[in-house]
Amino acid sequence: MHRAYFGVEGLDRNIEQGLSYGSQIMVEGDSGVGKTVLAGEFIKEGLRCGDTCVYVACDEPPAAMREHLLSFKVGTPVYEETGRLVFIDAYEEDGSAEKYALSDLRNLEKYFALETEVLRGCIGRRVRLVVDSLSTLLTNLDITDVLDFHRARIKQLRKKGILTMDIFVSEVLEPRIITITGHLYNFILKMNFSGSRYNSVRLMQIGKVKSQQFVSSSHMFTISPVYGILVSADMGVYQ
Amino acid sequence: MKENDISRIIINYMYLSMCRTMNQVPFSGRHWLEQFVTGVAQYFINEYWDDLMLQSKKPLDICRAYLNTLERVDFLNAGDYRLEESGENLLLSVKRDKCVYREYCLRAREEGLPTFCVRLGTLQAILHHVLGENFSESLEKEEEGVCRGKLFPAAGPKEEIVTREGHVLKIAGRRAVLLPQETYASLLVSVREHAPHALKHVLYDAGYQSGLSLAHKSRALYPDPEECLQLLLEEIKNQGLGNVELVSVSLTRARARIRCYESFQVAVANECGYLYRTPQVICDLLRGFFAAYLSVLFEKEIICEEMICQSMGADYCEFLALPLPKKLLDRRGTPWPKK
Repeated sequence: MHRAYFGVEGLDRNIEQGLSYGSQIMVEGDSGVGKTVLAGEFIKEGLRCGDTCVYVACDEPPAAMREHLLSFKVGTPVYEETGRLVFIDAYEEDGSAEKYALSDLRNLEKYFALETEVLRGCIGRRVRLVVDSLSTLLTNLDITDVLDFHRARIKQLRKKGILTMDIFVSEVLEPRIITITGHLYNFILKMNFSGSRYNSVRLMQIGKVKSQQFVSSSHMFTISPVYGILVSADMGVYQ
Repeated sequence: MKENDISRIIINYMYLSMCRTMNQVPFSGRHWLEQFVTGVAQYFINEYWDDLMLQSKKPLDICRAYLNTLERVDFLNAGDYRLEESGENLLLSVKRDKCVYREYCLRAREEGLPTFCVRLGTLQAILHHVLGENFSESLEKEEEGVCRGKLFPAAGPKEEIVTREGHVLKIAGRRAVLLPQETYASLLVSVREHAPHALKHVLYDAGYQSGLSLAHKSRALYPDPEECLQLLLEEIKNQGLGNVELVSVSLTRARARIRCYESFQVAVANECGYLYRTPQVICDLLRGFFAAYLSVLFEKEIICEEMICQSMGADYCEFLALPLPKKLLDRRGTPWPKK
């Protein structure tokens, strides 16, 4: 059975068995900590492995991720032309030049329909889906609607064998929503700034929610403009 | 010389045999074949050529005089060959069935051997003998049984991509080394051990940087981009890096699709095990070469991606190259290393 990895060496070393297609990853982290960089690594790895990658841009226009990938020497035009890399614009409400764009950013049903339509075009292929960030789409919505949407969507993605990375910006949604939805994910990755104000470090925790407890291992990491995320695997602190 | 003259047939066999042998010589068989041809012509020139028979020192007149000399010794009919000037170029055409070397040429093509036009080669030799200048040759596709080629002044002295000077091996004038596959494999394994995150970058950048110098050198020798690309791909084959095939190229749209059968990087992966955790495209060195070659030939930044790889069970590795979108270039500047 084909297994998948993040494409970040120090992180992948911690998930020796890899990720199975159909599993869901929740990435939750501080603003500016490197969640989008991680998403880029995940996409890069997918493209190299022959996967089709779908990126939903909610916090910035899709061009930002295109440029980000190009800065890491990923030939996005080649993959887009061959249908291996698909962008969904969930940022520009009006006048998006993208092939796939969400017309109403407050309407979860429309989002669900658009995501389903794009994924339908990828049938028979191994697919990675990244939503950056899902928390933006869920802001100011009723908690019941959010949870209903979430359950239905994850059930469908699992059934279709889509390897999904949903990104959540810390403190945007109620902690209650994060805790409840966290149970739906196979892996949870928390990325935060830690340490003092003058000597902050980036910390990554990877684990699962078991009995309402987040069981994880912690790793410091940095972001290199050439190599992307570099995890200090040997400095891990196990909780 | 009569159609079925046995000496003519034997000459064709000799060139065919040389062509076949040169194809087995590692590094640049075509160059050595060219050396043979011009060497043979030089012997003839030394014995039979007289500058006094020249009307002028125009390349057209020199070549006509040379063909007339060959006719006088009953080797060919000079009238079968049509010569004309086009700017600095000298165009030559001949009906295929009138060419002295047609058996060699046809069979070499049938056998997929690197062909070199003997007639153009001998004209290069006489032009160099009289004018002391170097000319390059280019053969166009045969149309309606007529072969067409051209001679044009070479930008610099024609030298081979791969040469050996005593014990020093050189590629494009720079010292080169010949490594057994296992040495190369152990290098990769070491990079993987010490800096796994850097492996892809190291391979791509190494390919790109070395490809740039080779492409600039070749471009100076072969101004026609498509011909130059074919030559560079042939060099990859000659160097044992893989059996490379140009599937399609568009000079106007600056894009190309290249296939590689039996890439050495796939062979290395088979020897040293998977370099990465999951099966994925691994020919980053070749990808770097192609991006550099095409960036030089198309004169714009080209991105190249390996879309499928033999290491993942495909029949071949396939690379797709496209220009970097201009708006992205304008916004950020190029992310690719400049020459």
